[in-house]
Amino acid sequence: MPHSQLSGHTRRAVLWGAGIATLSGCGLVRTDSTPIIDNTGALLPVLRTAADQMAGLQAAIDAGAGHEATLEMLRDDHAAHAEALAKLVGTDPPAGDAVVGDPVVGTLIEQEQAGYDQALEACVAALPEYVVLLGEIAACRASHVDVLGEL
Amino acid sequence: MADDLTPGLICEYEAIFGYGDAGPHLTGAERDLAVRAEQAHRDRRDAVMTWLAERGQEVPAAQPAYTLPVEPVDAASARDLIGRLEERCAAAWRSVLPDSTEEARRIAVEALAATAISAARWRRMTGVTPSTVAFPGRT
Repeated sequence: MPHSQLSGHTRRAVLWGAGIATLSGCGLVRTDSTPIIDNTGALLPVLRTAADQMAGLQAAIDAGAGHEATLEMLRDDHAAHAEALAKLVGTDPPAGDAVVGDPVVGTLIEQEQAGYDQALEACVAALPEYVVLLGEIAACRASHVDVLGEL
Repeated sequence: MADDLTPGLICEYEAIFGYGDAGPHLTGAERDLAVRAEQAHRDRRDAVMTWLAERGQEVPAAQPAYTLPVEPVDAASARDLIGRLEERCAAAWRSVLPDSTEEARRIAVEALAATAISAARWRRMTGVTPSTVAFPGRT
């Protein structure tokens, strides 16, 4: 390797290191890497519902309830909600309690409707930093009610 | 301004205009769905206009025409346009949420939910999977 190229790498490495050291000392980097933790308890019930619905849908799939692709799609939405909420609560997503009712789809609709109502009220009462996420979750759960109603 | 619902209202205006352009290119079940969806946008527009007026807030007027993201020339482009309009409405109502309180926030969440339902219906109608999205309104 020519000496000049090696020198170039070294210079760039020094500049990168200096840049990172400078940024890490300022509030911008620290703020971006620090998760906001919900200390109000407002998100925890919504997180538990997401985990329960995820578990219930998986149990319905495992029980051979049919409509597998649709139920998997809904389960994945709840999994995404649980992951996002768990980050804000500062925990891992809980396992959730699976309830498979009879009829399966009718029970799932009731659960999704209750989940929508819960997220809606949580959103209306929430601190501004959680309003958007809770609104998104409420809207998604509403769309699940509609999807299940067409099965 | 807190509790400013006008971004959502303006998107409802645009959606109603867009459905008017898209509708003639659709037939059968798609046309029926478009008619129901357009009526839902009209109902929401009226409710929001009334809500704003009752609080003495300025109610922006609808424009005579809107520049649409897609010009519908056939059924496929009409479906494409409607899908985009519903997603734009979802994004608009989502954008209202952070600066809203109480009743205005409830209106915005319910509108976001309604557009999420409508967008998912169009995805199902056109065979797009997954038909639901975990975080409606995100672009």
